[in-house]
Amino acid sequence: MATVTSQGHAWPDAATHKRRPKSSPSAPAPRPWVLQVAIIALAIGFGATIALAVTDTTWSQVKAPGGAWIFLGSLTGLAGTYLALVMVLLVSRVPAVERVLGQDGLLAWHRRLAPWPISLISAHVVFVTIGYAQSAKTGFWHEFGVLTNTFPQVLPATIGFFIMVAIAVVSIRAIRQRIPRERWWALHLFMYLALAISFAHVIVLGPSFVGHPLTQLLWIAIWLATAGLVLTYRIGLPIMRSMRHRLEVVEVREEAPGVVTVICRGERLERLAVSGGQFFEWRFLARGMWWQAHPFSLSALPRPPYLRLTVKVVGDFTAAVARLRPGTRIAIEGPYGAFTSHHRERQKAALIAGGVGVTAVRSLLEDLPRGCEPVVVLRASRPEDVVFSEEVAELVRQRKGRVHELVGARSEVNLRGLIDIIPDLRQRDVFVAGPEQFVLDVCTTLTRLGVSSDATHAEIYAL
Amino acid sequence: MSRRQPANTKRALFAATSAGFVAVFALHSVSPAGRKVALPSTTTTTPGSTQTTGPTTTVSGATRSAVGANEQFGYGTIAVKVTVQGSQILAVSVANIQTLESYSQSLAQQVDPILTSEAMSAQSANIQSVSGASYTSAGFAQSLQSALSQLGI
Repeated sequence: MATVTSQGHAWPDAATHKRRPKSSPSAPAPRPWVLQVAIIALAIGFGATIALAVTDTTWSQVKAPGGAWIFLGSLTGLAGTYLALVMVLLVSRVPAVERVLGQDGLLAWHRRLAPWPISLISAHVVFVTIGYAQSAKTGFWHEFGVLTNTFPQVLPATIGFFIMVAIAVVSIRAIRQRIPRERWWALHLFMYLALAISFAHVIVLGPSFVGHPLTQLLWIAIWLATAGLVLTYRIGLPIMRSMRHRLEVVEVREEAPGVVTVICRGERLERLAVSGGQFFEWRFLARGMWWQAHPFSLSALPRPPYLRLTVKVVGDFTAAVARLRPGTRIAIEGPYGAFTSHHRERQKAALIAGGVGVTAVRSLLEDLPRGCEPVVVLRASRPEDVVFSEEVAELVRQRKGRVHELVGARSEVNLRGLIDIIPDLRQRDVFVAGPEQFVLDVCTTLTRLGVSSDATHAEIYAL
Repeated sequence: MSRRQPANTKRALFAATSAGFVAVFALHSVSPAGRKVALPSTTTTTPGSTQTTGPTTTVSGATRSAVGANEQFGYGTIAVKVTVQGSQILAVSVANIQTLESYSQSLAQQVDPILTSEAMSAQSANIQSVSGASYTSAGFAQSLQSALSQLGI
């Protein structure tokens, strides 16, 4: 485990900062109504889209040979495309929504919704082909060829469809686990291309759009708006932030066996609004690393001009992080995450950290007020795996709370003991951070112990 | 932030979806599609540019015929031939129809007799659009009007 040269950049002692330094603002508070309004608007849009398919078809058209299939094809095509639009919105990282649900929450919905647009669009392809084949009295594959080769814009749409199918197949869990994450990710980005080339055939051929210039305009407008959101918040804003703050690595040091801290220096960090518990996607501009962005939490609030992150070495990328050279420039995306003090609803809090999950807990602690009397549980397999125990202890002491270290193998430690450590667990906001299995186990235990899901806030450390 | 959806959220979603659905239906019934179409020869309700080919006029005795302009109606093009005596329409027929695909072709074949008889009874191009074939009807009416205009009716 190599440690890069120490230049004596000691992180300021937590004891010297009793309160949040004025020099770095907290991230804006989340407004739950934004999410609610967005969901209602999307639902209205979905109803309207379904209605488009129904209003522009008549009974005599449905009764004509192939008419019923064509109608179903129109319906599934519209519904599937609309849901694809929702999928894109879910990963557009619009700050107002991301603040409420968190990046992990948005991704969870993205994964849950995924089977629907792909199934509907696949059905659309099949139904339309069957319908037109019946009306032309030819075979399925012959009609497929006719549609693809003679109908305007259907060839690009068909290519787009096959790209979508390939992405869907590769995303099946059993297959996804066998592919390196970066390769799967690069393939997944082709979805934007697939959507772009499939767009035209809808307004050129769809009965709801042909001869309905207003509908065409609206459809184009919502897709342009979605593209605008993606360009702004996935690309534009991160580039702007990276250029504004010009982060670079100044030191890498070993915090514990297999755990390294990276200290970064940046400009104008007093203008970087970030809350304790949030994370960035980090793109280290070094050879072999610049084309990947990985999420790591800050392990402390910014101390302008310095930022700190702490990383556990679990694979190639994190091993490369441990070998980073001072002066390496960094591009960031974020801050993201709903694992913040803003999401508290109760006066007191409990923080449960598994392994490297202590990083988010450590920075979250800085944002907690005195009255919250936090109880912190640090869970690790071995004593030397407990990281930041002094810093955590000091921050907790300032807030009149207490710390427990739960050290031992998984078989030895019973999570149900949490209720003994924290008797008033049900009256607290509970924050859980760590590896996926740990967080799931703890959350299951919390539910069994009667902690409501509103009070539970989880941050899963998964790549 | 709770990850579970309580029942009233589901109800709100259902209500919003239904609202959107109903709104489009309401808007659709207010729009002119499906109503009686009275088309002056200069307007077009089809997208894109209207292709007009040179109309042909044959004059023979009191009976005159003309073929209207080739009207594009979204799924193809249609040209209607009309035969008149004086200002009375004797016969109406489709001179030329080309469609994008065979569904529109078979649809047009179904509605042509209806449109033709309507034109005969209306003795003008002021015919009611056949529901389910609004584009074909519009194209038919426009081409017929173009033919009648050539004959000075």
